[in-house]
Amino acid sequence: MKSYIAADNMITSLGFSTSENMQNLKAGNGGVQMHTIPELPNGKVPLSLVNEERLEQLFSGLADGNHYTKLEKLAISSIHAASQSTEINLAGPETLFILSTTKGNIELLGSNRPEFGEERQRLWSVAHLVSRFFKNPNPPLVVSNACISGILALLTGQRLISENRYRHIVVTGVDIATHFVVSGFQSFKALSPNPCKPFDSNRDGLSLGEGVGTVLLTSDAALCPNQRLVVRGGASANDANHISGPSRDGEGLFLAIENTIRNTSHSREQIDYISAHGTGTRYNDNMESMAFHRAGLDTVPVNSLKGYFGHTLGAAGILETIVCFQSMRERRLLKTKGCEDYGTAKPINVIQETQSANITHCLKVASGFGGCNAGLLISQDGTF
Amino acid sequence: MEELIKKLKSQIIEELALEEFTPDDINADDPLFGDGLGLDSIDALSLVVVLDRIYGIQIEDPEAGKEILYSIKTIAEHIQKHQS
Amino acid sequence: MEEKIDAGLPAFLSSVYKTSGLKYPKFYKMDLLSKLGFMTSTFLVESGALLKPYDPDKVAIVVSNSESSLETDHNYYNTISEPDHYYPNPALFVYTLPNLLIGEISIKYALKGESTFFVSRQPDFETLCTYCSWLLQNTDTQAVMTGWIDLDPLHNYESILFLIEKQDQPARQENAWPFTSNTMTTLYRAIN
Repeated sequence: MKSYIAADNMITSLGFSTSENMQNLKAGNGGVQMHTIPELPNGKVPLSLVNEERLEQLFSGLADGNHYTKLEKLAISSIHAASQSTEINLAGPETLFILSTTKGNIELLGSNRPEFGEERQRLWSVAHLVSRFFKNPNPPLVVSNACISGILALLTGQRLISENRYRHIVVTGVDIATHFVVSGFQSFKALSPNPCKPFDSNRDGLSLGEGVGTVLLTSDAALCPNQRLVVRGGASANDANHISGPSRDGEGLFLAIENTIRNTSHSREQIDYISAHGTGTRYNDNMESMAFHRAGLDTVPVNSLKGYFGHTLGAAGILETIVCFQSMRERRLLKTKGCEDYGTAKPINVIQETQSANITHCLKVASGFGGCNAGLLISQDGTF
Repeated sequence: MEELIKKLKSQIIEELALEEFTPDDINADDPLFGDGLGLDSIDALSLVVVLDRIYGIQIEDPEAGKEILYSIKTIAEHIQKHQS
Repeated sequence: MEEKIDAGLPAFLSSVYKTSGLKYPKFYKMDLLSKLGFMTSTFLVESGALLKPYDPDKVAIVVSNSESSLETDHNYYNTISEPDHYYPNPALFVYTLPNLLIGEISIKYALKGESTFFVSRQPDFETLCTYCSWLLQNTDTQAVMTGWIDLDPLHNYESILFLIEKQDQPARQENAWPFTSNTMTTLYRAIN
């Protein structure tokens, strides 16, 4: 069974719908701005944050905001919005919810929020709350696998659909910017003092972001009458080298790409566009350039979206894949915001101007702590 | 200086979880980031935090950091310089 | 009534490591969840002996639990919770992701295959079975290490790993169980 894309939604600093986000992306607007996190000892930090007031307003139409954390409000709002444009029955037994998140409600740790019990710190608790909100009877699945969680969640959905375990899968990726996470990346000296510059020769670190992305996958092509986009499949692979630093020769990402190509019975020549991980750290972007080079993809147009959204962790794989869908639908390649003078270890074809292009097959990749890497292939159906 | 070096050896063993080493295994002049102790990039970051936490010394510049963290001796010298 | 952390688990895992005969000093840098998963995997594959028939690029690791990395999250949080004693610890932060335990196993045994970390309230052997079978049938995965490795902030823990191999592989068929969610559930209940 193929996995078609029935609907999607994004909520980020750049808007509360896929179309609003895309308008900003096409206009070159980025959402990474200087913000203060009260618990951080000094200064401001560049972050891409969702407009809280707007989120509260939106959510108030769905439920009492006092009973839900910010993360839960984002997830529920996004799924609700996505479901409006499809006939998929979220409450049906043939529908599964998959949540991708790295830290869930971690902001509850040490916070004085007695209305949320300790159980809410558990990722499964968030997933249950969200799936039950939509009256779904199945125990939801959570994928928590660092920055490749989003891609893995989509792959899990595609794999379960291909086994005919479920007809529809709601894949939601969400993470919020917290003191916990910001302080951690600061301790790694991984943050740039300015909005990140993926693939730029002067890049000096990543920018964190928050947001949610939802994709409704279905095996029922009839539910996707317009453009038929298909999640073909993909692969994950480990560097088996170091727990935080990416492998210098891009070994794990290279394997993930090769296996994605093989698992989906494709050839590398068919790939029209790569949506990279492109965090803007010196190591990551160099490693990716090595992996793309080794995979023979160095001339394929590639961009990173992290200059627009920041690095949204568990949401990244979903958000950035949705932008792939839109890029394919609108026949437009978005420029790599923040990249003015590209410079990586190996030369690759970084998209520096937004331009039109026909994209039949798109490769989305990501890498994360623990040496994990993943690739996902999305295609316009009907071309085989 | 000798006292400080002795203390640093124990502290580094504890802070970096080098449980299979004793202070006698560490030569104060040897490069910390060579093959001997098997220290990696996370250890380097941890050492920066340790120096701040225990000795109140901050290392902002990674290049300067490399020189200071070269060996136990260079760390000891840096601490003494900043504490006088 | 305040619940106390069982002080025994770190010491227990250290002694398990020491008696295993493994020479792997990186063990001591791991967080408790990774130590738990790492030692379980070491016994599973007999320190690597059972993995010899396989191409390490084709061994997958699919692990799940209910607490994610919450035990380590608490420890990391303690390094940032007091404004007067604020020293975020990178060596702890890196382990505030449950898939790091997979990363540690993968580094030790040079396993570059597929990997995924799932979180669920209870062990979901049905999903693990479907997912791992899919990997074995639809990719070039030759063997899968899969199971449930769980640790809560009070150090209550459960750890069970299975090595799944294809029937046509030159493995240990005499002692092998069929790979079904029922088998996994039965074996899991046996350790409880």
